[in-house]
Amino acid sequence: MIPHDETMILETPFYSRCLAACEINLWEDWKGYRSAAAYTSVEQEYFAVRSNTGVFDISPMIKYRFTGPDAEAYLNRLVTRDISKLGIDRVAYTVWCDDNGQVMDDGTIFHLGENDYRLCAYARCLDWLMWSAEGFDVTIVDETAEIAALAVQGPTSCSVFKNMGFTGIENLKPFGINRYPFEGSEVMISRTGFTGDLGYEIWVDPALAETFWDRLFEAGKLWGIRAIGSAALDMLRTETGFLQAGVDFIPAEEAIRTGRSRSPFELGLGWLVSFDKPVFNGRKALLKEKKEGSRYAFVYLDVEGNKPAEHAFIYAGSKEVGTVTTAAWCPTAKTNVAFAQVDAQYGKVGQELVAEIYYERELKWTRVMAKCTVIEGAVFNPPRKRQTPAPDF
Amino acid sequence: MDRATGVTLADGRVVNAGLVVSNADPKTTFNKLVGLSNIETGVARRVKTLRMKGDAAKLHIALDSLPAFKGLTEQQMGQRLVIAPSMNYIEAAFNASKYGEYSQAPAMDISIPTIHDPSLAPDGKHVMSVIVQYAPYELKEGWSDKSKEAFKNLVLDRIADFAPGLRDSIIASELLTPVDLEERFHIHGGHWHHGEISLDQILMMRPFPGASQYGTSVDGLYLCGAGNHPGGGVMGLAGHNAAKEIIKRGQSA
Repeated sequence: MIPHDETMILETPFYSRCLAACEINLWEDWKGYRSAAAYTSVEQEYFAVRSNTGVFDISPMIKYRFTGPDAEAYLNRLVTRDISKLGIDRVAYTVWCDDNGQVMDDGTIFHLGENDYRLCAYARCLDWLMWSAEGFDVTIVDETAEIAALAVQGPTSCSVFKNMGFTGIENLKPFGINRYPFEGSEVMISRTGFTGDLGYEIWVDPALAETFWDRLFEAGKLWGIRAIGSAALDMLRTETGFLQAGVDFIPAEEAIRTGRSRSPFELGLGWLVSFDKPVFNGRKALLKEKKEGSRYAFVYLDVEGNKPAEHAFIYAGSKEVGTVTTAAWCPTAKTNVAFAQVDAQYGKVGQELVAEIYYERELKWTRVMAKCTVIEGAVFNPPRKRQTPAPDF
Repeated sequence: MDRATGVTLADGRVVNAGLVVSNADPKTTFNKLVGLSNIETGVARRVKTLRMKGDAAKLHIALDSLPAFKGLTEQQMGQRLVIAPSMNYIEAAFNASKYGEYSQAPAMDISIPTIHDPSLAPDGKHVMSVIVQYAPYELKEGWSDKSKEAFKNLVLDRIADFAPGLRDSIIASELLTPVDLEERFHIHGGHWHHGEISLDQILMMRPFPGASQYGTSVDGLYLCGAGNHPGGGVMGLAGHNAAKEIIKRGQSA
C-alpha cells in the first residue's frame, strides 16, 4: 500500500541515495513522489546517457500486476496491441483507449509468467482497470510501492552490469527480461527504457534498493555512471522520438474539453492497433476512424536554426495547421527537433512547414518563422540500441 | 467477429440469426447473453452501474368468492385499487426498504381481473393480483419461507382492513419476492420494471446512454423489453419502437 495518509510527498526506496547525489537540490513531484529534476547539470546528465551510463529512478512509475486465469484475455481487451503474441519474459509498448478510441495512456506490459503480467503506466487508472475486469477472472494489484526500479541507460550500461556480475546480460535482446540472484533475493532486468539508447531497467525488492544502488555505482565508477534527473530524460526521449503522456497527448479521462483527446492514429501510433483480435476497447471507433479518416496527424519536424520551437504554431503557407507539443535542440543528433499535432491532411514525410517561434533574450522577444521539414521519426537511433549481444563499450 | 450472429440456448443448440432482439432485461442481456468480456469497458461500466434491485413483491390470491371492499361497488372493484393513503404513508413504506426491511404498512396496487374476464378462474371463483411495495431484493434477514410467510400475513391483514372477509375466501396464495422474480423469470435483481425508473434511467437515458435507441454497441443486437423506453410497463411499445428502429436502419433477420 502507498502510505499517502502519512506524508504529503512520498520518498522512493532509493531516496537516501538520490538525496546524497542531488547536489543542486532540484526536486519535483512525480505522481506523489519526490523525484530529482536534475542532480548536477542537465547537460552533464544528458551526456552521461549518450556517452556513458545514466541512472534514473523510475520507482514512482505506476505499476499494476495482473494474475488469474483470464489475465491475458483481460489485457487483450484492455489494450490495442495483441497481447496473446507477447511471449513470456518479453515486454511490449502499447496504448490503451476508451470506447471512443481515444488514448487514455501509454505504457509497457511485462509478461512475467503464465497469466502473470505487469503494466507500467503514466497515470493511475485503477478505477478503469477494475471496471474493465467485469466478466474476467483476474486479480489486479497496484504494486507501485512494492517494486523499486531504476533505468540504467547508455552505451556502457551493459559493461556496468557485467562488472556487477550479471553474466550473460549482453545476450538479453531488446524488450527481453532476465533474472539474476541478488543478496538472497532476485533482481529482474529488462532491456527497456525511455532514452533510445542501449539500456536496461531493473526491478528489485524495495528492501534491497539502497544496496543495489551502492553496488551499481561502485561497479559503474570506471564507466562514468551518473544519476540523472527528469530534465535530462526529457531531452533524451525527445531526441529518440518518444511521446510523453500529458505533454504530447492529454489522457482521454483527463481531457475536459470535447475533442482534445487523440486516437492512436492521430499520435502516429497506429502500428500499436491490432484489428486482428476480437473486441478491445476502442476497436469499433478505431475501425470507423481508419475507414473515414483521422482529424489530426502527429509529425516529427526538423526545425531550421537552433531555437527550440516550444509551443510554436505550425503553418502550411499562411494557413495555421497545428501546434508543437515537444521541442528541443538535440545535442547528439545536432538537430532542432519538434513534435507537432497538425491537421490530418498535412505532415507527409518531406513536406515543408513553418514554425512560428518566439524566444526571449534579456527581455527582448524575437519571433522567428523557421522552416521545418517533416521527418520519419527519431533523429537519434544508434545500432547499439538493437544489437545483441550488446556492444562492449 | 464484431456483431451478434445468433443465440446459444441452454441446451447448447445454436440459433443463427442476422440480428438478435432481446426482451431480456439489459443486465441479463449483456451479462449472460453477450458477456461483459465481449463488450468494451465503457459499456460494461454502464451495464454494471444500472440500478435494478427489485423492491416490489407480487402476491397472487385464488378466491372462493368475490371479496367485499368497504364502500366499493363491484364495478369499482374492477378498477385498480391503490392503498396509499398519503405521501407520508408511501415515504414510511419506502423507508424500511432502505434498511433492508420490508414495509410494515406497505403501499399496494390491487387488481381483480376476473371481474372483467371470468375465464381466468372456475365459475364463481376469482383471482386477485397485488403489487406490494416495498420488499427489498436484499432483505437483511434474507428471504426464507419464514420471512415470506410473515410478510404475506402482514399484507393480507392490511388488505383485510379494507376487505374484512378476505381471509375466509382464500383458497390459495403465493408471494413472489424480488428474489423469486429473479429466479423464476430470470430478471436480474428481480426488478419488476427491468430497472429502476429514476431520472438518470428514464426517457433517452433508458436503460443507459448508448443503448436508449434500442440498438446497442454490439451490431445486430437490439433491446426491446421493459428496460427500454417507454418501459417499465409491459405494453409492447418498446418492442414496437425497436422494430421501427431496425427497419429504419435497414436491417433484416
